[in-house]
Amino acid sequence: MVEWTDAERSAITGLWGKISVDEMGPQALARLLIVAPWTQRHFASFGNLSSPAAIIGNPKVANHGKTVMGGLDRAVKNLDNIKATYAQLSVMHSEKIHVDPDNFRLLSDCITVCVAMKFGPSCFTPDVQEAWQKFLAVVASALSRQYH
Amino acid sequence: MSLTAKNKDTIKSFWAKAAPKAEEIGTDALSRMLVVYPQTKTYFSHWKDLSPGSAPVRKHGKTVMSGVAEAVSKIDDLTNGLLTLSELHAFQLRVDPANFKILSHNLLVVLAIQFPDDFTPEVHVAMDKFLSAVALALSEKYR
Repeated sequence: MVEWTDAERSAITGLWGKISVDEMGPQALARLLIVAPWTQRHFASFGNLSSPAAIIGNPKVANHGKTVMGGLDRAVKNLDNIKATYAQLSVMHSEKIHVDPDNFRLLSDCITVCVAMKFGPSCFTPDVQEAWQKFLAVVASALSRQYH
Repeated sequence: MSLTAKNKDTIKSFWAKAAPKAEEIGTDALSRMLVVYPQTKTYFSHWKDLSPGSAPVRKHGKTVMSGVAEAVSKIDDLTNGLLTLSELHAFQLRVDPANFKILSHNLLVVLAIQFPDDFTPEVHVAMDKFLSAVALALSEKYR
């Protein structure tokens, strides 16, 4: 059972309330595909990923970014039960999509960079960063749980 | 994953923008590292104050950033250029090399915060590669 302090809960829900999934999802996924190009292995059907500009302008990347980031909503709404909430998604990532769990950490780091850029130093303080990264680590751990 | 000529150009021009704020960047990155990854505090048990922005954190942030500046100037041969620093980290400080990744991540977060318009994905990947290359050079003398 993950224990959240009140400060952590409010940091996470506060940030999430201000994040636009439609805006940040595409940015975070595009950034992942550019910064860690080996993650493109899952997106062979997405068309042109040949350059940063192509990736950023790719509508399939944008749509998928929204899907992936939108998935975090269930975690925010079920902070005390993320493991169970993501059981099915975990099986899917392992058995169907075959995602290396280290990629969850890579995407988390890209999401964190996007959040940092958007909210700046007065909002995204070290304490808020701690809460946010703890949240993403719990999500990544839940997604890795059903791998075998 | 070695640095291409294009990577090096990107790194040098971005560093030119970042260098004037080096102390602030180093302080903030270290502060965040100590809060977000509390296990890193084990290396600083001799400091009176480990809170964000404290005097020892500020002083050390400056030290770390001058190391980064040195790395930029020796970007064409990091292994040889950072040999002395590698010996320091390997034989005296004995910092577990896993922590280089942790500090690098926090440096990237702070660069993103300070330069939201300049820290494009292309700059991000170049800087990430650079910090990985620096970490590798620092690990050179470990074993």
